[in-house]
Amino acid sequence: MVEVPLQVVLNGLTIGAIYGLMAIGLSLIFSVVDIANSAHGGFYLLGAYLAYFFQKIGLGVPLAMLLAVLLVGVIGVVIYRLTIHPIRDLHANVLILTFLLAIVFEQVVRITFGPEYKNLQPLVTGVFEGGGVVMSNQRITAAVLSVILVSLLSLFIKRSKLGKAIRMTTQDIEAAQLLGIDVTLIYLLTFGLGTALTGASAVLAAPLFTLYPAMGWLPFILSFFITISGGLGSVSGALVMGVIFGLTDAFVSYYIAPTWGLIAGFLLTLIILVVRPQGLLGR
Amino acid sequence: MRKRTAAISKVATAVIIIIVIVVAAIAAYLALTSAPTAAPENVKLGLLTPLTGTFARTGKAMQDAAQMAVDEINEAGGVLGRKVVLITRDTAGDPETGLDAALKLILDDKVHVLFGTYVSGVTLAILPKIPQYKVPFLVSVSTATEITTPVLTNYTSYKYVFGTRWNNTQVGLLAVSFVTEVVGAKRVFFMSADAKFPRDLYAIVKPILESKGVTIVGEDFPPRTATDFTTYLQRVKETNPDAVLSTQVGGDGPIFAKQYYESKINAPIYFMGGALGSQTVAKELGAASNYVAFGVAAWKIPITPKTLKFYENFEKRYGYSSTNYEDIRTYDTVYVAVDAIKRANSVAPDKIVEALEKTDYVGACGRYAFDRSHDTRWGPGYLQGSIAQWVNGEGYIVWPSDLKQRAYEWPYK
Repeated sequence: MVEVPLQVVLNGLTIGAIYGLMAIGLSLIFSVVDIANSAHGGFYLLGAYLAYFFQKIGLGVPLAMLLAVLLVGVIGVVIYRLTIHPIRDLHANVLILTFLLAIVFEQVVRITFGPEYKNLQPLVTGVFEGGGVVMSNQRITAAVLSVILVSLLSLFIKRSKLGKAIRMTTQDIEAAQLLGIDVTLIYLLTFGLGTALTGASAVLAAPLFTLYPAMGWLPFILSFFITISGGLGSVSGALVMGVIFGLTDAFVSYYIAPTWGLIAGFLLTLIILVVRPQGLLGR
Repeated sequence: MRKRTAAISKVATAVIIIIVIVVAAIAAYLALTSAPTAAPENVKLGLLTPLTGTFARTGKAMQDAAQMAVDEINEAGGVLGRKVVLITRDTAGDPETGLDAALKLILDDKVHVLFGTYVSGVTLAILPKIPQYKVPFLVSVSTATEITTPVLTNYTSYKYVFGTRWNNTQVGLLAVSFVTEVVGAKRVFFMSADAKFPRDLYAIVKPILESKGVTIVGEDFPPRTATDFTTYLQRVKETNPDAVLSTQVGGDGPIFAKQYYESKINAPIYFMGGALGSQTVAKELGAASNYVAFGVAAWKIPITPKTLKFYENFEKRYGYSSTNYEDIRTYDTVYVAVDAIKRANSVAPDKIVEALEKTDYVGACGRYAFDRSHDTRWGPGYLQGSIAQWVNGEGYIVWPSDLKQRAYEWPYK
């Protein structure tokens, strides 16, 4: 039996959980608001840089991160209302508009903060060592919090009044309107929630890497693949697919070559879509 | 009567037209042949640098340093009674974009000297055009050795190419000195971005290290877009090296340094080029940059009487630290070009080339003189690199002994 280093498994699980949280915002917006948000990476970028800014002006790390997440949600709501909602039925236009927004975000960040690499302080410092595993405490924390946030979102969607309204809007918009649900408000709140979750993934993941203006594009691509292959609208699908992607990347990187890790992840998502077009946990 | 009036009218019109044409022709002739009253044409220097993309940070530093040099020269009266003008075009670190930018500088902006370029791939894409347009091209950063090889093999066509940079062989020799003289390592892991510069360096460094009895215990080339190095670091850990040589380029360097620190691998690490040479980056990384060693072309020590002045003025003017290579070298390149134009007393390309070949100029990095391949001479008395190390956000030279500020430290073993 091949011995699998525990480090490899934990690497895959932790990064996978983070991928799941990264994707969930995109999935939520896709399924409820019915638009492809190409500015997803841009909101990720904003989340990271806002947290950086708040840290730099002296706010504590947890407060800086929380404020950044909330502010990204608010910015999401405003941008949706002013620019996307008026054209939301024109899908191609929305795709292009949000893509342009992502470019604008990148340039604004570049002009405001400069192209130099920045470092976001982690929520938890230090390194865990034990059982042959070495892992930064931030990575472990980010993974745990990702799972918690996705679980809370799932509970919210299933149990809360607003969550039920969101589900009704997704399933049958006309029926939702007949029941007196303000669909426009649902779209606004969902978009804000989706971008806030993206911001949350950024503030948790960014301390593991560095900040630079073009940092949003890879998360966007990863989130897109994970969202589609996990199943549009499936909260658990995004998390499960994120973990599968992360484990695939970790195993292939270790046993074959690191350069094949991400490629294997993408190939796997393509295979899932061919075998099950609605996605792993999609209906 | 009416017919006669009409005829006279036609003749008058024709005469008026002829008079107007003649007067206009005389005026044009006088304008073209009269002594010039307009100011003499500016001396135009064309800078190619990546202002967008992965290398934007360094590209901006190059532009800032070049502009500072140009402003200083103009404050001192310019050259040949003319103002020096810097025109910068963005290469985006991409060969196709870089070539397009170079052609715009040559054909549209009509620069007298071309200089800069960061990515060797961009420089090599531009090189074949130089014989066609005969513009002096001073390469201030790109390190690929083959950039100046055509000067030796085809002098007539490529005499316009000069390297004020340090080349890969020189960069590699510094890394060898780190392994053999600074840490005395016998087992080395090579981990660098999958790009031309790192691979070229590896090809130079590997045989030299092996000839000195050092074993390369592993090699990996993660893609430049990699952000998660955990698997790569797992492989490094399993080979148990005495030292790790790295040439991350662009955004992956700081990320790799951070994750290397968290992996607790405990082997001394040395960066050949990349962002880890910047104090701004080192301070941002905090503890993760501690004790990281790297090669530098220049440092904030009095290598020449101009070195400290450069650092002081650059930081004061722009509010960030020098990269210790790309910007200071580009700064010196402006002065080398202007010095050659001054000695040539001309902006004619061949005269500039003749003057460049006789260059003996002391800049902020050291003394510039060109060898037969038009690369700068390397070694004591000329340009010579050093090895530095970050300690609590401050950098110190640890090699060679004549420039050493403190002993090399590696407290993690």
